[in-house]
Amino acid sequence: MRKYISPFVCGFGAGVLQVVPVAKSLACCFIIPLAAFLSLYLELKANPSSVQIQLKKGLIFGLLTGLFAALFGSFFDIFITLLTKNNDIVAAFPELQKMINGFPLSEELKKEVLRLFNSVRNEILRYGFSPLYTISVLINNLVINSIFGMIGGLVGTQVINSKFKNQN
Amino acid sequence: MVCARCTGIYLGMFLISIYAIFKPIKRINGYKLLFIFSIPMVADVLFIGMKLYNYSKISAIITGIFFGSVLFVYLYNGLNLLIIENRARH
Repeated sequence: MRKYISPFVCGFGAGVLQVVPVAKSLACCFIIPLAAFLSLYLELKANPSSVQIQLKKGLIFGLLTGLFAALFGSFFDIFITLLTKNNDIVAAFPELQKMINGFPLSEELKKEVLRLFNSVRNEILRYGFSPLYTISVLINNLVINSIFGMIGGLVGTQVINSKFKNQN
Repeated sequence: MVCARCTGIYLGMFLISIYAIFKPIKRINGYKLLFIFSIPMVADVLFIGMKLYNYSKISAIITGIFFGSVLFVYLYNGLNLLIIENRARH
């Protein structure tokens, strides 16, 4: 675990930023890759080395950062929803209805989708918790954050290695 | 569902990947290009957060395309190097 302390720390930071209002609009596409890069940078600071970082290591660090960010981000999202009994789905439900009605889908399918969203919204308003919302947030974050984490790890390794080349 | 900005990023990556089929992408050293191309996206989010202007899907997609296209170049290089690294190991 000690070996992977920097992905844990950066994943935690990215997880927190995932629920901060302005920052969360950049969470998946910018903050997660940046956190993966920072985890590699911190690792290099903690264990200075004159050898270039292997891309495999960058990929693993990025993946772990993404996974930790997904776990912490989902936890904070669900916890805040539980406390406030409000979230983006509840706030944007009227807009969501309009948007789904505008989709070129059959009426039955539209009704089914809206019924699901409505049940999630009602559960959140009543209990502050919805199993369907919890599962969807967790799966969504795990998939997207791990992909963007790996991208950040790969790109971050190249950036750090280019610095090595410049120094040499 | 994916937000407009992420759609832009995916679209940028997709367009450059199509381009890469016909014309090989040159290797880029350093991170200046990545930094420069990420500025519009970060600035867009900051300006919306500061309420200088309202959120616009078009600006989100365009800034996303900029970032996604250059991100693919770095990703492409990284994957190439990863394959070379793995081949050397085996």
